[in-house]
Amino acid sequence: MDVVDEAIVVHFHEEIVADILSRLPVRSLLRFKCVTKFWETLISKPYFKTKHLNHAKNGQNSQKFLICQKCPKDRIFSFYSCPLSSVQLVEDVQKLDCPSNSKPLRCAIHCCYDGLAIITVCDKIVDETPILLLWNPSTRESIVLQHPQFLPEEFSSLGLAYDSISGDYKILIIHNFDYNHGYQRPSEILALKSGLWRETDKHPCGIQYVLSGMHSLAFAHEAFHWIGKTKTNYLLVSFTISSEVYGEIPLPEEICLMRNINIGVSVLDGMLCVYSTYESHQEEGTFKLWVMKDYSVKESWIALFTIVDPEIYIAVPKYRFSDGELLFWCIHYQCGTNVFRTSREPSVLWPRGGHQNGFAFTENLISPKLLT
Amino acid sequence: MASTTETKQKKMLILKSADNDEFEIEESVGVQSETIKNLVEDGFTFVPLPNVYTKALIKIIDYLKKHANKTDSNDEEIKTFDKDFVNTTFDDLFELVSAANYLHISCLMNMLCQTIADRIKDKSPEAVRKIFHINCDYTPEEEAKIRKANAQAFEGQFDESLD
Repeated sequence: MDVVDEAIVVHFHEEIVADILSRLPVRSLLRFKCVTKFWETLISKPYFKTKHLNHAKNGQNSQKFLICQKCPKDRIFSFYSCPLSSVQLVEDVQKLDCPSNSKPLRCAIHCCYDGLAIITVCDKIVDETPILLLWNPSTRESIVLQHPQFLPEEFSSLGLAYDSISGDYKILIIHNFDYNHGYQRPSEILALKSGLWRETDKHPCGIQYVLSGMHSLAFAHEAFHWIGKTKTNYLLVSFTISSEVYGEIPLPEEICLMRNINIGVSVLDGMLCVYSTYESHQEEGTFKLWVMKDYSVKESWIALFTIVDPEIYIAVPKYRFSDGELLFWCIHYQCGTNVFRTSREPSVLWPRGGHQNGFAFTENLISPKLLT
Repeated sequence: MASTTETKQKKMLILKSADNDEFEIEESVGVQSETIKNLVEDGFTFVPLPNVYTKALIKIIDYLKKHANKTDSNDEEIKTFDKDFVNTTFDDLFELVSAANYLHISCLMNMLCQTIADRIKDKSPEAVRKIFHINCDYTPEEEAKIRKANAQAFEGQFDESLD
């Protein structure tokens, strides 16, 4: 800097600087840490990170999609972050380095909440226990989590959420009912600050859990949700994050009458939604989605839409764009590969590939290291 | 709301800037500022603003007048006004943001902070320093360390312009 005109030097209060900077993308903030020590300190403060997250939650440009995919050539997994500001996923894609290992041979994203993801990474295909990580893909920071008693398998589901009562993030892992042994493996919960996994109480009514392994647990109204089954019916199981109380929510009648179906539950715009893929009478693949307008009120399930597409074997909604269009992850019948598409456009948004999955997340600065 | 105030006799306020210029405005226009509102509630009709200079105050009074007459039908007109309002230099924006902060006008604060953020987000740290008139207080070693720790944020080209 040469000569600074003193009259125009603006001595901002921290409050004003925080207000301006909290509206910036994470990438800009990481870069602006080197503007001055004052900014670096501010950007690292917990209150600033919370303020930034609150802006980011409402900002179109802060919504990103995290994709994990195996490269067919070298069979190595990679992570990508794509903007969700438009349906064109492949524009402005960033390739992310895998935390802890640059060339993993097995990888999975289990869930995303706020801007944090739970992933498992493994160097070898066999004979190796994968490591479980809590990762912020925006800042690339991660921590290794302790193993639960039962590691996530193909038909397990995880959920991550913030418990506002204890002021702590919690992770819940549940497993599919083991039909071979007639056994329900116990669910476990990890409060990050405690650092220890703990078995939760069993479901009081002995409901079997029906998990396809393609969903994370749906978090809404301070509770995790997943699909359960009694002897006669499917239903939604809820589990409150702070008091760990089980509840049951009835599903739309139509779902309960279907046969040979895949059911899932997710959260779109803060509302629970359930969906099923089934073969209609013409043997066409049909996907139907309902949202629950008023939480826990059976009558408020509303069928949002139906897609008939013989290609679809299983579909999972991932994100609702501001114009109402939905982003889906599907497995196709014919080729068996999974693809991303939207509700209106059957065309594939992302190059096909094996073992791919993705989750929407909000870019933020929350540091996994500071949550434990 | 607007019609009831118009039928009554309009209450007026006098605002005095840091450079001692006085401006008469309607109370209903002024109370969009929380700071002015609190003083009016305490019975003041003469409001000295020792932190707000005339140049910024004129623009802010313009803004308050425009926004006091917000109706369903002039939505587009106000949008155009706001767009023109923020189409100015960084130094002007900084003066306005300091004034809006002092006056506690939250919608204006929002608009100004968002405008500044949008205009700096793709810039280089060097350009941002110049824009904010900040002298770098890092040693070259310290700065190199921060750049290294956040290497991915420094990949690519950045906007070096100062406007």
